[in-house]
Amino acid sequence: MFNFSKMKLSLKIALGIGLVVMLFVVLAVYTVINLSKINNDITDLSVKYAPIVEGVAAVEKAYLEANLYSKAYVIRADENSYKNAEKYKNKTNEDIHKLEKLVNKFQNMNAISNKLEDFENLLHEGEALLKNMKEKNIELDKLMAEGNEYGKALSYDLTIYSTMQAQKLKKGLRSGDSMDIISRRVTKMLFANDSLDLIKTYRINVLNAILKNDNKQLKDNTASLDKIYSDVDMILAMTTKDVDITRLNKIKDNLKKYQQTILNIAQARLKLDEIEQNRENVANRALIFTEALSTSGINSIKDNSTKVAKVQTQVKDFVFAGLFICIFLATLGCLVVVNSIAKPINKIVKKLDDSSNAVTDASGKISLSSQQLASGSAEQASSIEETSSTLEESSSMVRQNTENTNQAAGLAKQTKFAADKGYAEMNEMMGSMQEIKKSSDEIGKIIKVIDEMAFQTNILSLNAAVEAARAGEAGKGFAVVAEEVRSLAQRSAQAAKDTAEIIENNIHLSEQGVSVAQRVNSSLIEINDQAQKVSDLLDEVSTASQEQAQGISQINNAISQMEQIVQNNATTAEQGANAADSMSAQAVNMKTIINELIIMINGANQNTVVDRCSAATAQQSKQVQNIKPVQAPKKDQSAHKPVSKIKKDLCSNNTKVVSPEDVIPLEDDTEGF
Amino acid sequence: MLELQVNSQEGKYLTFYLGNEDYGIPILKVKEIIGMMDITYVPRTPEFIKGVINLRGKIIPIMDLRLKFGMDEKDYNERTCIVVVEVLINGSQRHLGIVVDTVSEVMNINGKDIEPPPQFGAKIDENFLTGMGKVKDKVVMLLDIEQIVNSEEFVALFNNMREEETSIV
Repeated sequence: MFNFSKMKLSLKIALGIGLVVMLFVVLAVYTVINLSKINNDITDLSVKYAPIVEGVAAVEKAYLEANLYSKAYVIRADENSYKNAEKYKNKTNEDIHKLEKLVNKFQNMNAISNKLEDFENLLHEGEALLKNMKEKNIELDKLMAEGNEYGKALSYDLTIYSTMQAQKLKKGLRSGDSMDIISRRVTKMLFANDSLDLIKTYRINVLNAILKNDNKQLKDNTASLDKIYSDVDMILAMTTKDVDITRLNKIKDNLKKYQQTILNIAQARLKLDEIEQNRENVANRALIFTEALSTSGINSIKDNSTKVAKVQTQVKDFVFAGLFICIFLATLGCLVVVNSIAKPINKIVKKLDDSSNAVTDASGKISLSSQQLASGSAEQASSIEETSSTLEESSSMVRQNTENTNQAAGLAKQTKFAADKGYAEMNEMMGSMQEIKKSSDEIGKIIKVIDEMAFQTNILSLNAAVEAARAGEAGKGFAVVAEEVRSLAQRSAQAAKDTAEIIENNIHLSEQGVSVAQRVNSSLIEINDQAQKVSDLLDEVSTASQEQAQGISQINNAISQMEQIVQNNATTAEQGANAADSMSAQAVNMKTIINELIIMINGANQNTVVDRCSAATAQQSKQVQNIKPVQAPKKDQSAHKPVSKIKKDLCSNNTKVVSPEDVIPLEDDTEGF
Repeated sequence: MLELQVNSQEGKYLTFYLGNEDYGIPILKVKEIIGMMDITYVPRTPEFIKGVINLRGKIIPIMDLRLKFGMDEKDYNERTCIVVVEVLINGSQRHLGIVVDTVSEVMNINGKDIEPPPQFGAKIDENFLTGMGKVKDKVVMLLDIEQIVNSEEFVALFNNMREEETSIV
């Protein structure tokens, strides 16, 4: 498509620099784009991910506090813990709302916002469970108070009953009641004391179970009081006093209530445990959520930062690579441009150097040639003189020639005349011959007539014979005559035939004579023609000889002119030799200029050789100039050749200065001057 | 019989040429020998009848003997002759011109020199020939001219011409 080496130099350089600049621009654009991307990502980190993580941490922290107080409340079941738990729960809620607001500000945060919603739900659930627990606790407290009261009332009644029975026993002992009554009283007292003991033990067990949080024991222990019912019934059977009956019934009633309350407490406690378990579940889930939230936040930060780091590394690599390529291309371009400039210049300089050498050589040769020309001119002059004397002789010989030719022409004319005469006589003879032929033909005709007559006579004789035969005996003599006539006719026919033959022969011979005469005639005509030609040619030769003589005198004139011209040539040749000398001096000048150029291009390293070369050529040219005035061509030649050889040797040691192909066309050029 | 026949054949014959062969006609049958004359062509006649001539006021039919004998036709020249013969047709004397190459002579042939014509076989009209005359080294075929012309063609020809003849007479 296009050739780089044929482009303009400035265009080449511009192209190289343009290419590098273009690459830099591309690199810069790429870097700016990627840096802005990194900036965006970092802004995201500070504006988006960091606050979110912060919020998540706050939520987590608040929730952990809330959970802690909730747990404290579960253990302690005090108002303070509950309040604190409430407070931190609310705080957690607030933090979640804040976080939600923050998350909703950005796009692509649905994962977190969904998680937050779930977490909020869990939180609400936990709150509800805590509230429920509080209610249950209040209920339990009530039940406990109730149970306590019933227990106290039971103990009180039993104590009073025991005391009263003791007093009655004391009274009986003093009054001397029957043994039966006394044993009854003792039984009643024992019952009362046993029951008291049972209840006490039971209460202790209940407290123990509550402290140990063993609801099963609490429930199971209740059965241990069932013995009291049968004891009360047994005592009632022994009791008669209404007061006692009422009291015993009251004891029975209270015992039932107490038992029921304790069972209720156990129920409530179980429920509470259940709630607590639920709450703990919820709390654990919430905790897992908070952890997941915080890890997702941290992960997104991590991801983002790794992304940023990746992009950064990419940009770094690309910039490094781009810079490297740019530097490489720039270096390459510089090399190419320098090469493309330096190489042709080097070539041109080399060629110039060669040319100047060739010019030097050629100028020496020219001066030599001019001297040779001068000596040649002198030789020419002497040979021209010889030529003119030779021409003198030639002209006298030409004159002789002319005379001889004229004589020959006269002879040729005589020949022609004789031939003409022969031709005319031959024509006469031809006429005579024709006459002979004509008369022979006429004779032939006559003979034919005679022959015909003989034939007719023959027929007549035959007719006569016929007639004679018809006449019979009378015609016998006539028949003889007819026979005679017939024989005469036959003889005359024979004679006519012979004559005809002779005449025919004659005609033939005369025809032959005519043809011979015709041939002789044509020969004579030829002789005549050729004689004419000879005479014409001789005429031409004589005129040509005359012209030759004239020409020779003209040549003589020309040669004297030539002598003058040759002398002129000799002087001109000398002038030419001088011009060639000055030309060789110019060539040396040119050589030094070229050397300067070479130094400029190649630096000082190579110029030493070139200098030597130029020095040699300079010397040579000086020698040539010195030798010039001595006008001996042979010496000049001997002086020229060694010098040029030395120069060639010197130059060919380092650089091929002169190649024959280069020299030959240049010589042609110098000849043109 | 043979002797008689030979004797009857003996006599003078006019000999003539047809091609290279000699033929002879008894001289008493010959009326006249004339040179070639202008022949008037008569249409619707056999090929060998060349036409008629006017011989001193008499119309005579002319027959080319070459054609009659089935030989090649030959151009007539100054040697060609017409031999006028007298023939007996239907009991009346008639004149007929016979064209021959040339007439030769009148010669006398002895009876001992005449031999009967050779018997060649069935259909050839050996009746034309009356004998073979031996003269010197040559053979002369002796023709019976009346046998030659004694055919229906000639009868018709001459019948047509009778009136003419009579009118001229």
